[in-house]
Amino acid sequence: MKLYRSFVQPYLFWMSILIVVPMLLIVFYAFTTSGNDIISFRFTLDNFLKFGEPIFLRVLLRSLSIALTTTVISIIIGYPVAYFIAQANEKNQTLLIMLVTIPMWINMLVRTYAWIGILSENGIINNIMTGLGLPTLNLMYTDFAVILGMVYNFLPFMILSIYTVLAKLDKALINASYDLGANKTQTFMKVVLPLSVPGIISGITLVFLPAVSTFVIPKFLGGGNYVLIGNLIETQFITVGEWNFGSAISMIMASVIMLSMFITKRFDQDLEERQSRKEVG
Amino acid sequence: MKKLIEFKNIVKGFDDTIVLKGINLTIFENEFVTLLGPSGCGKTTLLRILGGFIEQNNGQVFFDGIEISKLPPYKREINTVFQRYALFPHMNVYDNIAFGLRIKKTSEDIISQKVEKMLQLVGLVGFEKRAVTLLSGGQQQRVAIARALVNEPMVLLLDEPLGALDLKLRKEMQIELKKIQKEVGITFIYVTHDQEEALTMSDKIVVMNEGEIQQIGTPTDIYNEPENRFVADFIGESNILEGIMHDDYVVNFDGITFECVDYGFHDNEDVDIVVRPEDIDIVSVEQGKIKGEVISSLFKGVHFEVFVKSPQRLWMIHTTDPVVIGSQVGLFFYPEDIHVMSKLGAY
Repeated sequence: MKLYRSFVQPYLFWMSILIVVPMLLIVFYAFTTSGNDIISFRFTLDNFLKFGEPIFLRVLLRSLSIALTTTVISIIIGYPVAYFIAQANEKNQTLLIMLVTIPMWINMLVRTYAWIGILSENGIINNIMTGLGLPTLNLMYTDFAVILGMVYNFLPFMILSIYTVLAKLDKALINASYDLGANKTQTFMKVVLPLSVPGIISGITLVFLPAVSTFVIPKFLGGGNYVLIGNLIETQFITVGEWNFGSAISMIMASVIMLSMFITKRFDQDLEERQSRKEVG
Repeated sequence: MKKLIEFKNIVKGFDDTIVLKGINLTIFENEFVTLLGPSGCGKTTLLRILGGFIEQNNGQVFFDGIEISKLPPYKREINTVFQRYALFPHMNVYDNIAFGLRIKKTSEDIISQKVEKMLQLVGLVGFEKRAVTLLSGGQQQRVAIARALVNEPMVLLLDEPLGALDLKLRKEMQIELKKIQKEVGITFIYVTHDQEEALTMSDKIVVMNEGEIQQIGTPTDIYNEPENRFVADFIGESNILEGIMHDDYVVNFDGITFECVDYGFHDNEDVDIVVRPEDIDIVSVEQGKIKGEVISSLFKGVHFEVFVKSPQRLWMIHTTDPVVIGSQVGLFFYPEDIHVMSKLGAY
């Protein structure tokens, strides 16, 4: 046991170099003015105060609302899909789960690029529209395109986490509900849905968090003027060179994410408590 | 008594195994019927067909004179207590019991009265707000029974409901179930592989093996008059031997001719014979009908389980008197203790 434990140490070393140190640097940058060097630096809260400007707050709000929309759509599409898969026989379940995960084998960048080919002015959809004699649609660089891209990319996480819970659901509970006079709809609303809430919650965590921070999808499908919080951070670091402000935004976003995780965790724990009592009893 | 349920030639197979081979069975109102058999005999399958959870390949099920094979479970006037209770983990005791009534849109006033009545019946008053996941196995069992009975079904199906409980609790629950059945006055159909449980509670026992009914009868019938070797072997402990029926009331086994009370066999028909261990007395060698040597004696609490080796076989005897191992003894039984069974229909 001791021997194996020592194998962890190099990993811990590299983890601290690659994760902890950069994070400390972000904290350092966020609280200092620009133009510091190692020996002379000045602490300030200006970077955070700057974010209070309406233009930046609007970006944060927009990011949150886009991420929320993405999450809601993912639940609406993901739940029926997960339910359908869980109902299938075992062999088909494996196949269907593979179909859901296959897109994830391809790099996210490439998948998002593919949507440009489908949605753009001369893309597949507009070609079909012209072919049918219909006017072309302006699909690219809209909220629609960004949300579509996000739902497409993050939906598998929602499906998988709901499926996991549904597949484990004791069939006897469903039979018991039928036995007590509930039809299929009533059984779903009163038994299946309430018992699958933990799956929905972990699905929300897995979809909402990446959706709120992604910058690749809005950049490609939303165009240069489409700014979400992820893009804002990227521009501060790469284009503007304002590392201090960029760090401050990163920290603000990290706090927002932690807060939302805390809220979902709390909700999840209430449920888990009830579940774990079952094992004791 | 009024006919309530009728199975007509029920056949059911899964993949390439046939689980039920043409079951014909009539169940009456107010009966406590037990389907008894070893695991894999098809008893649970028959119960699930009645509950509507699976459909038979062939044959009909009549309920109160109406064919119900095509009716989904939620339209049948039958409720089930499932093997591992299947209580809804996200609801408390009260909500679990109220589930069926709420589905029927019963008013909350009436629901609360009925739930209270049920809690009294199963002895769980004061447990309303408890999470079902916090209850012990026996308590969960009671909730499951209350949840089923509150809907006032005409039939309650119980699928090995006591299997998960310890021996003492199981015995208590057996008596309690019987009491509940008398109180509510409906038909209970009970599935078990435990012969003692079946003998304790049932009005009627249906012994099944390999998808076929072996015998239907009251507990005393089944125990005292088993119809074949399988039933004799499965219910209680027995000495089963082969013999020849010379004539009415005359049977021969182990080279000795005995007087018995059975009749109606062919002359010199080969038969199976059962002698229950508690019907055999250990007497002196001179008084015995069969002679042998005591080879073991195990104390079982109420009685000793004694094995005596005669020239032909080993006899199991239950006696309350201690015997000396290695001693020569005689075995004695009365003509009515010899039970002769036809070999036809034996396994």
